[in-house]
Amino acid sequence: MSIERIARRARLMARLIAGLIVAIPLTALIALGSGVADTEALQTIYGLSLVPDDPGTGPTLVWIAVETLRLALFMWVLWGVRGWLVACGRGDVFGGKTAQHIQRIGRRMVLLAVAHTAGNTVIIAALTWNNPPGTRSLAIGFGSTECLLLLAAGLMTLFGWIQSEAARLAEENKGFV
Amino acid sequence: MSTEIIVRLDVIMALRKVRGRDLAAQIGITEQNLSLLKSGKVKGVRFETLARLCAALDCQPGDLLEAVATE
Repeated sequence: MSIERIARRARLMARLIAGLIVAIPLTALIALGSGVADTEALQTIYGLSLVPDDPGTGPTLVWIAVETLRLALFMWVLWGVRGWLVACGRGDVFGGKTAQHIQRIGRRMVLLAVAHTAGNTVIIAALTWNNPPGTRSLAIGFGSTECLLLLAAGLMTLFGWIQSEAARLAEENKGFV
Repeated sequence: MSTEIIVRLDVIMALRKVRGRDLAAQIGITEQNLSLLKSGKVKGVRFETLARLCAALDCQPGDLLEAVATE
C-alpha cells in the first residue's frame, strides 16, 4: 500500500474516530439520563447478592464517578489514536513524532487497563459499603477484557518503540548519499 | 590532532570535464545530493554510490576521497 493510500485511509479513520469521540460521551449521557444507573442495573452488572436494594446516593455517585473516569480515559486513548491518524493523514507515516503518538496510545491503554481493573474493585466496595458487617465485599478481578487490553497496550508501546528506532535510522540514512 | 575526509569530486569532475547534471543522471542520484557530496556536507557515501562514481569518472575511490590531518 502506497503512502498516499495510507494517508487517505488514515484521514477517513481520523474523521470516524472524531465522530466517536463526540458520539460515545453523548450516548453515555443519554443512557444516564434515561435511568440506566438504577439499582436493578447495578445488581445485574455486579451481582444481585452483593448490591443491596438501596445502595444509597453515595455509592451510586462513586459508581458514576468511576465509570466517568473510565470513559474519560477511553476518550483520551481515542484522542491519541486520532492524533496518530491525523499525523499519518499528513503523510508523516514513519516520522519520529508519529512514533511518539503510538507510544502515547500504548501508555494510555495501560492506564485504561489499570483503571478498568481497579474501578471494579472500587465500585463493588462502594456499593456494599452500607451492607451489614460480613456482607461487605472487596473484589479484585482480572478477566479476559483486562488481559486483552494490557496485551494491546504492550503491543502498541512496543510498536511505538520500533517505529521510533526506524524513524531515527531513516533520519540517519538521509545523511548518506 | 584528528583526521578529516575531504571529497575531491569537484577536482575529478573538472579534470574529466563532466557536468554535475550529467553525472547525477548517470549515477542515479539527484543534483542536490551530488552538490552536497561535492561540498562534503554529507554524513557518508554508500559503497554503491562510490562504485558508480568511480565507474562514471573512471577513477579509484582514493582519487575522490582524501584524508587530511587537522588540528
